[in-house]
Amino acid sequence: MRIGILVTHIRAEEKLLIEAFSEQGVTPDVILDRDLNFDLIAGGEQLAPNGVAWGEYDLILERCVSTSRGTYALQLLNAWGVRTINSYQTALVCGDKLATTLALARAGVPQPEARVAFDPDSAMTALETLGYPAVLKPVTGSWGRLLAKVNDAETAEAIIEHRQTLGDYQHHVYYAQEYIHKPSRDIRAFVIGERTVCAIYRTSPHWITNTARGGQASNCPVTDEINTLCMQAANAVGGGILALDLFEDPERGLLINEINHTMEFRNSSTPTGVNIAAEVVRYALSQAATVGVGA
Amino acid sequence: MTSPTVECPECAAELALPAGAMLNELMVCSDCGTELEIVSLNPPAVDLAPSVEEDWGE
Repeated sequence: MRIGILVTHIRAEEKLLIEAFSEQGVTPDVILDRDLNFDLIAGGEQLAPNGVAWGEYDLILERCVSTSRGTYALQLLNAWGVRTINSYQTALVCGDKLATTLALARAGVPQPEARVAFDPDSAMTALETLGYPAVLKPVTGSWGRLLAKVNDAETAEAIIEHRQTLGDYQHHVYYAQEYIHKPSRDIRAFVIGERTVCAIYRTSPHWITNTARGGQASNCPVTDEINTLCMQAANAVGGGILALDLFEDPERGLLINEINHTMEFRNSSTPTGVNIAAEVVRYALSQAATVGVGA
Repeated sequence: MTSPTVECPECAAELALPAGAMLNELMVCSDCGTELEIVSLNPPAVDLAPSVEEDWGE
């Protein structure tokens, strides 16, 4: 079986994954996204940077920290019939908060209210419609970067003016989300294939609870409610290996906030007792043994 | 057995490679905190890791 792992560089997660593959007797080819140089006209018979034809791979596990590189690579590989985890469609939806919100809405998955506007005045109207406080987010981005909790109209005007003046065109897309008064924590749940394998609470005195921003991880038991909601949300975005962020709304219960398609998990195996890398590899090898494209 | 060592290109500190070091693995200089990338295992060498870009993430 020939497996490739497409990376920007080797982080703790990729090292754990490579070691987990090794424990299953598989040595994946590590392919750096910086070395990619695709012929857009030719198909999967062309060679990867390591000299192996892309079409010879049973599976490419996409683990790029660069969302743009990873997503375009998936688009090409899937177009050529190369099986990948995750699929291009899943990456496309998860890599864009607007697309994620739309997919969840279509599937009837509970989520915070959200609006989008493209002009400073209409962005102000969107925020006022949601009510203060609200949250402004870039449609692409991760690790809690460039999120803004907007407490009032004056703050909104300042943030919008800064984004309009200093940001590129992507920052002129004003994705605004209802602020959820969550209990100093959110839930990060890990879906691998057909089940939620584990979840953590991310606790922080700050309203941004990402572990990348200092949130503390502790075990969150996967209830039937969490698993059912996570599988509904995962299927809505195309399924695969996903990390879902859930809010506990005091009145509406669990809401899906965001879904990540190249999840980090270095801080999550210890509190949950679940070897996430081994779970990923087990699923990847099972998918590599099947016929078709995508996760 | 002692770990191979490298010199931090930022502060010249002598650093031990992590256990089971892999090519293109990230590491952090214990002296100056700079993020580094292992660019060669034999001989061991590191360079400054690429800077975080706007589309980086999960």
